Amino acid sequence: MNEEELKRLLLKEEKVEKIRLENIKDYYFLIKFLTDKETLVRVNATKLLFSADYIPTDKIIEEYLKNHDTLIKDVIVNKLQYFIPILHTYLIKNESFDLIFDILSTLQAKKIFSAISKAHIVTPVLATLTEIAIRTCHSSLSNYNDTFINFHFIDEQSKELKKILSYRLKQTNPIFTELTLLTITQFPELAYLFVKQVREIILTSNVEEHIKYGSIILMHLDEPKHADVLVSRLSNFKDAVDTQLAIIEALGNLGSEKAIGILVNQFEKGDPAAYYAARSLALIGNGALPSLITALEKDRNIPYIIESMKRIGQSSYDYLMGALQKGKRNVRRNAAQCLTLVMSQKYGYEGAIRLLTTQLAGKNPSILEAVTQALLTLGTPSIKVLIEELIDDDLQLRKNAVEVLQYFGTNNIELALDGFLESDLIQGVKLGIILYLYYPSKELQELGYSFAFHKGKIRSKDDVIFALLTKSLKEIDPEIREKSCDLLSHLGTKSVPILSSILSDPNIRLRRKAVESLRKIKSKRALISLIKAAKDHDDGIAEISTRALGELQDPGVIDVIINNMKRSKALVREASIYAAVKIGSPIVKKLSQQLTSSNHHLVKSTINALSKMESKTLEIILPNLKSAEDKWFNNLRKVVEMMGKSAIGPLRKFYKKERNKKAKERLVLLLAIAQDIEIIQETINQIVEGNARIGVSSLNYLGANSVDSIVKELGKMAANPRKLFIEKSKGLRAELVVGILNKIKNSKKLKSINKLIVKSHTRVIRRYCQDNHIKYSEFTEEMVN
Amino acid sequence: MSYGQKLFLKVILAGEAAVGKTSLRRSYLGEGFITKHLETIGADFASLPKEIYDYSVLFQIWDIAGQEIFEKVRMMYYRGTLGALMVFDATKISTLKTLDSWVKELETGTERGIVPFYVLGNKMDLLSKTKRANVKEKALAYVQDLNKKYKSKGFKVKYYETSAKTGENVQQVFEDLGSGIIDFIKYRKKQRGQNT
Repeated sequence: MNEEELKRLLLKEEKVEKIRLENIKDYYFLIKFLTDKETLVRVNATKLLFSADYIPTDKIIEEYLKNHDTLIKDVIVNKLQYFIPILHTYLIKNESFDLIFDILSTLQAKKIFSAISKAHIVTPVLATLTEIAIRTCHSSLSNYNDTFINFHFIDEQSKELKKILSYRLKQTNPIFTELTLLTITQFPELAYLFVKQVREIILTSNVEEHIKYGSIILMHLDEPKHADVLVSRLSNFKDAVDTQLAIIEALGNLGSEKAIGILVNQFEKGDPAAYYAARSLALIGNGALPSLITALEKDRNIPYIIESMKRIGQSSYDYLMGALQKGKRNVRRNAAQCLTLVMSQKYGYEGAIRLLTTQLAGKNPSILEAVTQALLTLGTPSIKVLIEELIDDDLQLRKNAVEVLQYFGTNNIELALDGFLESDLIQGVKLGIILYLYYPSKELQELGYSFAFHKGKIRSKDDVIFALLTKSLKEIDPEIREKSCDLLSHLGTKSVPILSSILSDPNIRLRRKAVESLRKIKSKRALISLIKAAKDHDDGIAEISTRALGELQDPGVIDVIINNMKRSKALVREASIYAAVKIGSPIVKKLSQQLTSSNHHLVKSTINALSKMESKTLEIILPNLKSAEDKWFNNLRKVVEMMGKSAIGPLRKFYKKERNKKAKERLVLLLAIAQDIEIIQETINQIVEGNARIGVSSLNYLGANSVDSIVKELGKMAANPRKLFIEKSKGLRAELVVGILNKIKNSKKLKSINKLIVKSHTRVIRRYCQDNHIKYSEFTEEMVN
Repeated sequence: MSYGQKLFLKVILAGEAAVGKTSLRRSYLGEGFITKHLETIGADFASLPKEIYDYSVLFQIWDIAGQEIFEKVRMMYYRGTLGALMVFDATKISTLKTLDSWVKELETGTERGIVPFYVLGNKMDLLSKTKRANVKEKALAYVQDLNKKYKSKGFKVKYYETSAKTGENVQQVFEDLGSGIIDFIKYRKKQRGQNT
């Protein structure tokens, strides 16, 4: 078939696929027709070419390379999948690269990859080689996610790949180098094929992206020996920040100790280079620690040193401790601060401060100075830890904690504690109590107390506080123990068992404090302990516990209280009286029986106790009047005398009901002792009826106040009983007799009886005159006339 | 030891990156001061002795500028803080809105609850009069809301227009914050029922 014949067929034939191509010449004609003037010829030629078993893609491309015809270019673009298997060969030749690249650069990555995918079905290796050849020069495809490149392909086609990528890296356009390096970063297995070239690029390229990707490639190699070019680059070039960050990151990942020096130097640049350097140093690990410690000397860049050390972890602690112990002064100081912040990663901020303060347990002044200064810089959070150290088992630590707290001063400690009142009341109270119990100065003790207590009440009764006080009870220092005892009283009944246990402590002062606290708690749970304490040989303890027992008002403690009334020390007896009064009615019966005791302490205390009770308690005692022995009655008289007028009510009430003569007589006397004027008529009756002893005694108790009433009664009486009264009332006190005489001398009606009074009471009147330097004759004359 | 018996007033400069926190600190303390006294311990940190009322105080100014990438450790820097300057960039009003999260961070981070703080509109030298008035209106509305929220806390949030470049209000705001903190301390003392 000649050219014309073929063209004719193309113009005529509807189904061009049926045209049989006989030899290679026919294919050349068809390629020629791709640029024919007639559209139908072009279309059918294309159709026929790409439907044949053999598609001369290489010839088509050569035709394009020869003529640069856009119609052929369109064919290549439209039938790209058929060209894919061979394109890679044209993309690594100087004579063809530009023209082929020109075609591809106009296409989107999606279209190119679609063609590659179709070609990959028939020729997977060739299609993938073309993919990589395009990726390394086509910026859009280079970032395309889908790919046929994989580890096996790289392994099997390393020779071809090397050819493609080496060519690309030699191309002068820096973009192609960049895309090639980018491709290598995407397929790290490629990195091993181009180590030399990448190293060279890092040392010489002026393109930031080359250095970035080159650094990443070396990082993928994971061989510390390649750090040298990165170190060199970082030292000798002033690359952009991003580039420097890539190098720094790569250096860290390579883990070469040769990079440590330059990485530490990056700290001077500040963020972000310094931060990246810190991370990279951490990746290098323990090897970086000596340099980091040395860097502490500069007093700068500590955040980055800390960041590195935090990431390195536990080994940093050992190095920092070494620096703390052996370093120069400023290194020690910075090491102390770092130690806290580095360790805060693992133990939390407070845990780390605590770790730092444990160094206070030593006696090395250099370490103490460094730690102190670090704690001061860390500020108020240290205060909490330092206060807690005051209760540490290590006494040296306590002592040093006191010293550091002294440096902080009262105001700062107050501020720190104040913060807790807002955020963590229990903690604030706990710290306040620790200061109050353990800190040696009064000022801080008082400050601590003010945080623990408000208007005399503890701010928190939490178990934490209870545990703290229980612990401090076991201290050696008796003052702390006593104070703890005291504070435990504010926590109520839960403190009773622990305070009770203290009652068997050999320390008397402590036992006293425990008893005082039990008294304050006012719980019947403490009853047994207090009974035991009331029998303590120490009078102070017995006194407090007796008072406490009284306040509990439990009838079960009556015997103990009565027993303590016999004790020789007045303060215990006073306490017993107090307790008896507190108990009141339940103790009265048994107590009144003690009025006949032979123990004078007991009798005196009983009288005191009964007299201080409410007067109505007399009602419990008064039924004994008719049968009680005189000793008992005489002591009861003392009770009533001490009670005074308040006793009148119950006595009178009882007097009205009482029918027993003896009891009634005794009641008259008791009423007179209580200064009941209304009993005068009864006392006069007693005298008239021949019971002068009771009557006279009663009137004598009533005293001068009763004169008017006596005279009034005399005025009402008939002559005989009046005479009888005057004659039988011998024994009346002078003030009464003289009072009656004086009252009567102005009374016309009674004046005549004064003679009889003078006659009957001569002795007492004479004594009165003598005592008052009055002439008896003149006095009687005046009274009678 | 030079710290003896001084009251530590730890204050924080907070706010988004590039709002000018470090510049404010430098403007207040001076460049020379920094190289001489800066002792870093995880954030830029400077201390300055002052006399406020009858207190001898040591200002500890913690500038967490540049520490945005240290997010995890940032909360640690708030511990023991007694006052804060919340800085926004007046040329970028969006930075005012972000102060909410910084205030929240302050409130939780101090571990003593909220402490006195002021709102600073920085870079005022870059604003026209009209723009300045506009920013002021928004800032004052924001400050008013804050004062409603914290009205019973013993301090008042104030708004200051500052410029680290011209020094406008820089000295004033630090001094006022110091006094504000002392007043806050006195208020707290009173609250505790003690004599001040």
